[in-house]
Amino acid sequence: MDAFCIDLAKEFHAQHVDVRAYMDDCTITAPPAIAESVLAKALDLMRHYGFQPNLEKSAMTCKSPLSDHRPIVPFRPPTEEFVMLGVNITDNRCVAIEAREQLHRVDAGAG
Amino acid sequence: MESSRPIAASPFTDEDVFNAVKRMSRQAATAIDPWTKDLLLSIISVDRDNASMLAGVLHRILTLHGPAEEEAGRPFSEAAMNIVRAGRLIGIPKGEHDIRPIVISCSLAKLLGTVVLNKCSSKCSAHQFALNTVRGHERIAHMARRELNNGKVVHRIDSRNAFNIAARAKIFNIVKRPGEKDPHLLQYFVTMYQPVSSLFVFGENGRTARVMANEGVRH
Repeated sequence: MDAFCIDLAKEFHAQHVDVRAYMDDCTITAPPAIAESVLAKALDLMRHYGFQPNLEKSAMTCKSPLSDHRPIVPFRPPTEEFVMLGVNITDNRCVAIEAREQLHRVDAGAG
Repeated sequence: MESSRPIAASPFTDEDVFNAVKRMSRQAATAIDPWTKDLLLSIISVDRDNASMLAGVLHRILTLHGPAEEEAGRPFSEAAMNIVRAGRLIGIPKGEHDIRPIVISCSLAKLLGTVVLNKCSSKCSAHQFALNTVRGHERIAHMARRELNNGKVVHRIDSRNAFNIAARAKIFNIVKRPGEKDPHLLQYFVTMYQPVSSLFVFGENGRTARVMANEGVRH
C-alpha cells in the first residue's frame, strides 16, 4: 500500500493531491478539476500492485457540483453521511464534539 | 520466487528483544500459543540471559533460508518452522452475509516481526498513518473533513480482502527493490511467506480443517 501511495503522490506532485492510508484503507483528496483523473490513476495503480478495488464500496464526495462527472465510483452529496475510518466527515457536529473533547483534555491537564 | 541467499541479516541483541516486547500491545489478540506481552516481559526481566537466548532463537528462525544458517548451527526442523508459520483462521462476521477472515499467528512470528520492523532501515512513508502515528485514523478523517470544507474532492477507495489476496510475488518485488532492500525485512518475508503456510480452522464439536495459504499476508 505504501508503494502505491508514493507512486500516486509522485504522479500528481505539486497539484495539491494528498494520498493517505490507514493499513489498506486509502483516502485521496484532490482539487475538483483533476479529481477524476486522480481517481482513474489511483485505481490503475492499485491494480498494478495487486489490489482489487471494490468500486461499489468506494465513494467520493465534494461540496461543489462536479462538471463532466463520469461516476467511476458512487458520488455522495455532502448532505449525506460520508463515513471513513469510522468518522462521518460530512457531519460538522463531529467538529463540535472534537473541540469539546479537546477542551476537556486541556481542562484535565490544567487540573 | 527467487532465492534471497546473497543477503545477511545481522544478529539480534537482548536489547532488540526488550524493545520489541515493550512495543507489543496488551490489547492485541492472544497468539495461537498462550504467550502474552506480560508473560514475555516477566521471563526476560527476571534474567537478562533469557532475552539473549530468545534473540538467538529469533535470529535462527529469520535466517533459516539465508547464508547465516551455517553459522547459526543446525537450523530448526521443517516441522518446527511449520509451527512458527502456522496460524489460526477465524471468520469475524461482517455485515449480514459476509465475513472478515483474520489470522492469529504464533507469538514467535509476531515477536520476530516486531524486532524486524524495529531494526528495519526502510520505514513506511508519511502517507501511511497506521504505523507510528497516534490515532492515525482520526487524523486522516479530520484532515479529509478540513480539505472537503476547503472545496476539495474526497475519494475513499475500498479494496477487497487486501491482506488475504495480496500477491506474495508482487510484495517480494517491492521488498527487494534496490532503494528499499533491507536484509531483515527481506529475510522475514522469505522465511514467513516463501513456503505455503498452514492455517487451521476450529469448528464445532472439535472439528478442525487445514487451509494451505500460498497468497496473502498477515497483519
